[in-house]
Order: sequence, then structure tokens, then C-alpha cells
Amino acid sequence: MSYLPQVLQRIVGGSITVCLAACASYWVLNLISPNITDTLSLGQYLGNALHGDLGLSQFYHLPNLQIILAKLPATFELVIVTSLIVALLALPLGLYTAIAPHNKLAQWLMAFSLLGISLPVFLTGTLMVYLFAVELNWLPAFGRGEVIWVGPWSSGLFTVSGWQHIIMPATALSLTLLPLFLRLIRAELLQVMHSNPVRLAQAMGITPWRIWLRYGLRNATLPMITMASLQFGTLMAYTLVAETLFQWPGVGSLFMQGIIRGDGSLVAAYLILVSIMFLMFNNLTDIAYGMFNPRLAPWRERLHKTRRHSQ
Amino acid sequence: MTLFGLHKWLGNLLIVLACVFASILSGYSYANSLRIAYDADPVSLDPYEQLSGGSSQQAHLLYDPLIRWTTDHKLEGRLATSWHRLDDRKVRFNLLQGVKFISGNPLTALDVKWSLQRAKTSPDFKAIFQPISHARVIDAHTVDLITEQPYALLENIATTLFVMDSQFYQGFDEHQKAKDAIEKHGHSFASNHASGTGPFVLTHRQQGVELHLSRQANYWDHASAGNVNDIKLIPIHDSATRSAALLAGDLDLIAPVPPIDHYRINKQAGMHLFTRAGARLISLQMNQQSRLELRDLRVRQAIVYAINNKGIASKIMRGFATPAGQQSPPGYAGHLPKLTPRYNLQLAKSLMLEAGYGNGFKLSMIAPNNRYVNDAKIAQAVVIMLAKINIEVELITMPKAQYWQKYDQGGADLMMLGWHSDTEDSANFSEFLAMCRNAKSGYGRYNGGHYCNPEVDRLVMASAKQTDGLKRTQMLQQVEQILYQDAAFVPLHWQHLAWASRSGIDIGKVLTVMNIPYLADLVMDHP
Repeated sequence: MSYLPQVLQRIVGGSITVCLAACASYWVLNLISPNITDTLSLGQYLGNALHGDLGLSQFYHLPNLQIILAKLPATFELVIVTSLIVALLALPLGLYTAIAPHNKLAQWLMAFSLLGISLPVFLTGTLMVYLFAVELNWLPAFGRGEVIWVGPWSSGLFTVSGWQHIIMPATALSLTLLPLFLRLIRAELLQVMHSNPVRLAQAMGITPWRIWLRYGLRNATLPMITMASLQFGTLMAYTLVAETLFQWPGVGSLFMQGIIRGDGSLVAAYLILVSIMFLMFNNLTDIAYGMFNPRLAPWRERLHKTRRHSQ
Repeated sequence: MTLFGLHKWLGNLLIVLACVFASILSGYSYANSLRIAYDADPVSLDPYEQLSGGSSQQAHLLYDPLIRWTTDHKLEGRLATSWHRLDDRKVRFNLLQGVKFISGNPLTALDVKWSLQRAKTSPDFKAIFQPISHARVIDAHTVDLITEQPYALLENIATTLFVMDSQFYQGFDEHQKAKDAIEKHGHSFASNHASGTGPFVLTHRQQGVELHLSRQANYWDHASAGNVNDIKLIPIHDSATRSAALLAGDLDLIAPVPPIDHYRINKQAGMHLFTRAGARLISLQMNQQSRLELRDLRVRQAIVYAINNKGIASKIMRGFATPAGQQSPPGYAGHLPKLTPRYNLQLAKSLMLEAGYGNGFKLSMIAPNNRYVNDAKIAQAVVIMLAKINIEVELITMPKAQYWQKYDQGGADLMMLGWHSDTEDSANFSEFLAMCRNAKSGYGRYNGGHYCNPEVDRLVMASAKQTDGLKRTQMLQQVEQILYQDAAFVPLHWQHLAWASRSGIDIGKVLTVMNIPYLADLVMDHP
């Protein structure tokens, strides 16, 4: 039970954060739909939120929570596929550009990654729609395709048309995140490769692959996790853009429609839920830290200071 | 992980990628199935919940009206095989025999009577059906519609009377609410269940995502050559995405099409753009209640003279609009050909001087930014044009969700308004936009300018009772003449309609001037 204080600290801190987020949401609600806040005080709003009642959407006349949860699978699948693309490509490419930094292909990759970081999703997305959907007719331009229902969860990942539809938005999203990770992995690896333990390993005659993967990549995981948790916010923001562009029926486009329709109640509910998601993600990141580097485990009381420092 | 392991892993990745691309190339095949995208889906299946273009387009698929407008703007019978005027106040409709609703209930005159009574209680539609006092059932297939006063446009109203299944909507749903309740955005039984006589049956509906319809197997209209078997309606809010999806071959038909995409679609082989003059008037209301200056006739005239609406129609709308000098578009009873757009900057300046406002003044202005084609751009152009006669305009544009609330409050000195006549007749414009505001009768409901001229009121009211076509036309033309002289509002243009489709679909053959496509009559060829 030695980690109880940390857990308590997290719970208290998290609750305060969510509460603040809910206050901010109330303020947004007041801006968009003052007629709701006229009859609903901040206290009542927070109280309702605490009981899981995020109000009724002014457009759909259904509970906001229900509407948002119904749209969540679409967004979740998009985020998962995007993350998969990033993870599956960033690792080998990052490794490659670090191992052979002077190779022509590696240099082209670095140049492209700079382009990828600089171009916003709405531009790459539009260009992709133009090229792959309009000009080449390879991929559908919008929507989620056929979905099958697994209980309350609608999934497009089990149909051909579902995959055809998800490729473009997921690729467009990953194009901005991939270069970040690629560059990060490359930088970390280059640094590690010049460290003493690696030199020792080389001197001992350990095979290069073993050194790269075991000593290099492993040391690069922590910064990658940090980056992943930081980029979660970016991903949420870009999902809004990609969902609008590709008419993806997820939470992001729901939010955008909420803004356009002036559905303050829905917008505020979305903001609260996103803040909870952020909080959960941050905590998961900390747990992941501990798993990849036991020295940083939050449940290890005696190294508490080190962990603070490293954050 | 060894080098070999990495190879294997990459190999697997390649196989997955190959599978994905192979499946992409497999393509689509549909048999007489029409995939349509529009900007937003109607909130309800109930034809009387929301008064909007999308709602009536949908109503024509699921239900049938008594009579309807043909594509060349004449009346033709639908559920009524024939009709004739008995006197000033009565029209007799003879209904089709042997028609059944989707529920299996037969269509009778009682359904017509019930549907009319229900429509008269709808907040959005009661103003339209207000002139009809009641329906009298003569026998199972004969019904009279009766107005309180002599009324010329009874047939026009009958085109919006969709007949619903009175037995199907009896009783209460699982929430103990009446099945026939009309509750705006209330998710009532009628808003989620449809039983009509229409050409299509609802097979699947996911609000905001898609609507599937399939052709009713024994639809009564055997004369129709239409061969569309099923329809998939998809709301795509973003107009660029809509156009891209059509060009990508994911869709067969889209509307509306923004002017900026017209050239692109026209140029593309295998694509077809259809445009036609529409009847929606875009105008500016000059609020005489909020500004004393605007009560001065010369100032209002100066504003009308200063706004180059021909320029707006050709440059901003790219020719996708007809510049207007009056309310009634060509072809309407009240249209007076001599009332043309009147841009004259010199005259506008001298009128301002004459009125004593040579140094100008400030006005506030609001316009929507997602309601009409290029609405915000038009508003910005107006700001620049009015600056030339020293009127400094402070413009705020906003989404339509907030706009109408602001408009109803009279929230600015200049306000943009688009209007499509509900009855396809000139009088409707004046009843809502030009007559003196009267909360009780509902006249002047959207008269944001608070313009009030008893002579206009008298003429419009008289025209409603005048069943002699020629006399009525003269009255309505006189109204337009007065409004023109009084500069009651700033006419900008009549917005055109645009649909785009893949070739093999000629939407123009089934599209009415109200922008309602009779999709049941559409003959589609395979590409």
C-alpha cells in the first residue's frame, strides 16, 4: 500500500482538473446558449455532470452523453488505425535513417518528414482526396463505408469497404504525426549510438541488429511515450479536421456540427468528456513509464523524486 | 528480434498492404440504385414537423400530395385524380381508388380530412393551411376543401397537403405520447415512423449518417417511367467534400453545388451539371424601427441605388443568380418586367445629399454565413458598396443556427433574408415580408424592415379573395410597383438551383422550380 498517497494525489488532482474543465465548459455554454444557463446555475450544472448527466442536446433532443458515445466508435477506430500506421512505419524508418544517415533514401525521408510536419491535415487531406478519389478513383472520398454492429459498437474494420474508407483519413492524419516520431527516434538513436555502453557492446562484438534494437530502440522508448502522450491532444484536434474533411461520422464532426448549429449544450458536454480523456491518457502514460523503466514506476515511492525530475 | 524476424514482419506487412489495395480495385456495382448527397438531412420523417426544402423533398418520396406542380409549373393530380372548383370557397377533389398505405390501410377521404386537421396544428405549417377552414368528406373517395373567405390559391395549398395514414397514427407510443403528436425535434412517433402512400419505403435510417429507401412494390402510379429501385441519401455538410465524392464516383447525384465547383464538374467527362433559374429571392431588410434615417424614403432609395446587384450576380455568384428588382421572379403572377435592377451610384450620392446625410452615418448589419449561396461574401460586398455613399457598415456574419434568433429580435439595421414563396405565388412574399407586422394574424412575420403601407396590405388581402386571374395579377403587380417606389427592401437576386450527377441521370427532367426532384419518375441509365 505504499503507493496509496500517489494514487490519492492523482485522484484529487484529476477531480480538480475535471471540475475546472466543467467550469470552463459552463462558460462556453453560457456564450453559445445563454438561454440554458439562465435557468441552470453553475452548481446545478456541475452536480448534474457529477451524476453523469451532461444535459440534452438542443438539436437532437437526446442526452448528450448518449449521442457522443454513439459516435465514439468511429473516432476511436480512426485514432487506432492512425496510431498503428504511425507505430508500424515510424519504428523501421526511424531506425533506418539513424543507421544510415548519409544514405540518399534516408536523406529524402528526412526531407519528406520536414514537409510532413509543415503541412496541415486539411491541406494533405484535400490533396489526397483530389489525387486518390477524384483523379485516380482508387479510394472513396467520404464516409465510413459498410459497418457491422458488435453489440452497441459499430465497426468498419471487418469489411472491405470499411478499410477502403479508413485508409485515406488515417493516412492523412498519420502524415503529420509520423515525421515527428521518425525524427524523434532517429535523434534518440543517434545519441545512444555514441554512448559508452553501445561502444562497449560494439567492442564486445555483439551483432549490429542486436545493438540497434536492444540497446538503441529500447532507450528511445521513454521519449516516444512522452511524445505520444503530448501528441494525443494534437491527434484529437486533427481528428476534428479530418472528420470534417472526409465526412467521417465521429465525435469530431459531431462537435463541428454542434458549433455550426449553435448547440452549446453538446459542445460543452464534448469539452468535459475530452478533458476526462486527456486526464486518463496522462495517467496511462505515467503507468507506461513505469512499465518501460521500472526506475520511474509511480508505485516506487523511494524514487519519487527522480520521477518528478524526469517529467 | 533478429534480422530474419524483421524480414518476416515486413513481408507480412506487404501482404496486408497488397490485400488492401486488391480489395480497393474491386470497385462497386449497384443495380438502379441512386446514391445522393445533400447538405443536411431533414430532422424528421413527419412532413409537418419542420418547414424546409429538405423536408418537402423527403415528403415527396414517402408520401403523396393531393396534387403537385409539374416540372413546367402546371398542376397535375396525384392522389386526387381530378378536382374542380364548386364556388369561391370550395374545391372538390376526387381521390384515387384502391390505393393503400404502407401499413396496408386503404386510402380514404377520411385520411385527407385527418391530415389537414393535423397540418393545421403544426407550428410551422399552420400559417400555410390557415386559409382552409376545414375538409368535408362527401364519400370514401370524394372530399371538399373549404375556405372561410373566397380564396384563389386553394389548389396551391393542396400541393403541400401530404396525406398520412390516419389509422396508423392512432393511439399512444411506448412513452405514452400520442402517435400523431407534432413536436419540433421531439422524436415523436410520427417523426420516426412513416406510413404514406409514397413511391418509396423507408428501409434504414441513421440520423445524420444515411437514409435508405426502396421502391414500393405496388406503387399506384404505373404510368411513371421511373426505374430507380432504391435510394441512399447521405448528408455531407461540407460542399467541397460533396463535390469530391461525386467526382470520385462514390455518388450519383449531389445538391446543392457551390458555384466555385461548376466549372470543374462541367469539364469532367462523365459528369453532368444541371442549373436552372430558381425562385428564391435574396434581399436585404432595412430596419426602420431601429434607425430613423431608414424611415427617410430618399435614404432607402440611395441604398438600393448604391448596391450593384448585377455585379454581385455576375462576379460573386458567377452568373449563378438572376439580379432582381422586385420580389416576384419571372413567371409569377406579380412579376412586372419593367422593374429591373437600378444601380446608379451618382443618383445614390445625390439622394443622400438631398436627405441631409452627405457625410453619411453608421449602420449595423447581420448576415448568415452558411444559409444561402455565398451569403457572407455578398454581405461583405454590400459593405464596400455602401461605403461609397459614406454609409459605414459594421457587419457580423454568423451560422444560421444563431442567425434566425438574431433576425427575429431585429438585431441589426440591415439584415439579409432569403425567401422562397411557400405557395409558388407572389402574394406569399408580400404576406410575410412586406405587409405591416401583426403578431396576431402572423402577417409581416419576417418583415425585418418594419415597412408598413396600408395600401400594400389592402391590395394583398384583396388579391387573396380575387379568384379572377387577370384582376389578381394586376393587384399583385401594383404591389410590386409600390414596393419598388417605396424602396421597401433591397432586392439582390434570385438564387439559381444546381444539381450535379454522373451522366446517365438527367435530374432536369424531374426537378421542379421549387427544387423538388420527383425521384420516382427519374429514368437512370447505367454509366
